[in-house]
Amino acid sequence: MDLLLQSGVLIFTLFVLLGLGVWVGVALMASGVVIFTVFTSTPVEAILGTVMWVHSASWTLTALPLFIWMGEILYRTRLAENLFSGLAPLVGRLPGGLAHVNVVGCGIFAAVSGSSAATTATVGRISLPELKSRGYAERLAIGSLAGSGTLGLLIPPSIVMIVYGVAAQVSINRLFIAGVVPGLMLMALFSTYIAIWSKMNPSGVPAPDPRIPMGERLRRLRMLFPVVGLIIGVIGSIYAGVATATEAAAIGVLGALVIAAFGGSLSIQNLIASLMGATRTSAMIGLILLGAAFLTSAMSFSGLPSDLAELISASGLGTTGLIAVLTVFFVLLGCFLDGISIVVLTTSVVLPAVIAVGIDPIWFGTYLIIVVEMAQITPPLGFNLFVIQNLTGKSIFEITRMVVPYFMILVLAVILLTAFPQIATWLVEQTY
Amino acid sequence: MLLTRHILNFCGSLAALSLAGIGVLILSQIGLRLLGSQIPSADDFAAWALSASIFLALPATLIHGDHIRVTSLCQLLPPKIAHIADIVAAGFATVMMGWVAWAIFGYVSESWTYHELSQGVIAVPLWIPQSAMALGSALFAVAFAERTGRLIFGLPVELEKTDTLSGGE
Repeated sequence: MDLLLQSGVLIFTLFVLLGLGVWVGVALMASGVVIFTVFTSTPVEAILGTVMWVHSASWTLTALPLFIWMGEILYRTRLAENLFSGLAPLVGRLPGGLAHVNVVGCGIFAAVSGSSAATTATVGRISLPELKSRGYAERLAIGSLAGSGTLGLLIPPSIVMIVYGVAAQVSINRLFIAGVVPGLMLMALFSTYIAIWSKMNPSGVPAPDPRIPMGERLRRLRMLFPVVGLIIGVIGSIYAGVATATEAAAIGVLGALVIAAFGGSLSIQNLIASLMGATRTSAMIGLILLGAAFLTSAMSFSGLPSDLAELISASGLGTTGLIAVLTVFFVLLGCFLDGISIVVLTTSVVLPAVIAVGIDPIWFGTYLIIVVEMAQITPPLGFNLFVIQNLTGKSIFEITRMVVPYFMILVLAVILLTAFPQIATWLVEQTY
Repeated sequence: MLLTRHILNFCGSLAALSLAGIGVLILSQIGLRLLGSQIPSADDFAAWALSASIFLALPATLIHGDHIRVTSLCQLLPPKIAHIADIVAAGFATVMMGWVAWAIFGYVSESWTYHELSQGVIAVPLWIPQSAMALGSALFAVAFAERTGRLIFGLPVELEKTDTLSGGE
């Protein structure tokens, strides 16, 4: 009964505040206050101060602003142009042609950037006009970009993974490594779909560009060297176990600055713009994280998550059943909430139950990231849809229609990941 | 009203410096470690710089319209009612963050009263790094109050968007 009442109060408070348009972080804090005052006798101010300090002055969290900054710097370089010209001759002859540049380009950029909005914006800025001028069908070009852009979250480094790692107190390095194989798997699935679609709709794909001589191809391939070097420096140092996520991020910032300097895009103006952008984005995420941390502490005092865990254990849902129920729930939530809010709400309320059922928190993190990827492309609130709307001027619902097949591929990925958990855990076990 | 915006933006710049400081600190730490040396309490300093960066940037992030909120439901309402909802939301946030700033101020002044020191190699009085948190949260409440006022008088609340990426996802 108490469980029902508490979850009722929590859901009602959040629903009213969020629906009214109160900022997510503020709404989370307010819900924490409500839970504290109604269901516990703890002095709430004393706890608030401690939570704000402990969770903002956090060494683990320092990786977050640095990875954001790295992405902001790279966004302002010629990296996307270089990716396109380097990759085009490689994939141009596959069925589906240059549409695969979206998949591979997003995959590569995701490995140096932690955000799917940045990945979509950076790759799409170049690839959408190029594909359009060559006569590729819009649903192929836009759909594949929106789908592959979500890889920014799954392929390390990843901002949302850092948020999950910090909130769930799980090793960020392990999460990063767990994302590698599922990320590659999704790339393969996207590319397979593009190839099949192109075979079935030959009118949507123009004839390939004339063959480029070998020497020119190699020259273009050289343009990919800087970004590949950066990937090796950042992910390699984490994989080899020589760097913490924060150190890898700092190396990444340095590498990005070097690439910008050599590409001639390192002006004072760009440097300041990238730094200010990174500062505001990390403050935005910081506010949500702090709100969630306060709500989590309210939860631990009130005992709601452990009651929920007992209820779920007693219900006999089992792992697969629980994951199925959660997925439906998250997809609905994803229509109205952004990914980071979904992740922090999950870790505050549901995670103890998930762990009690015996689900590995690293595996769950990977699963949650894929679900959040779905949230990125579900209307009306989907960040990747907004980015593509800005790039193309098309309406959200037009874009959504083109994205449906890629959404289904993400659902397929969740099913595969649940049936074969090793997809996420195997590489982690090899490394640690 | 313009003066407050300058103050908020100035704090935003301090936050950016603080963020850049984290990068410089960690890179120097990596460099020095290769030479067999290290910066004492570097982890503490980086963590404090992060706290300062987050809190000092909160108000500037608000006036740039970068804090996340759910707007899809309000868009369904008629414009007049949506405007009232906007005022209520900003007013609520003012009260809420005002209380948060007050609680944080209490927390920091306790650190001051009891001379709490950090646990690292270099023992620093904790109120020093914590004061950025107190300042940032107080100005955040001010920024919400300013926003509420502007909404009531029908003034624009957010600065023009420039070339930035939307959100961290």
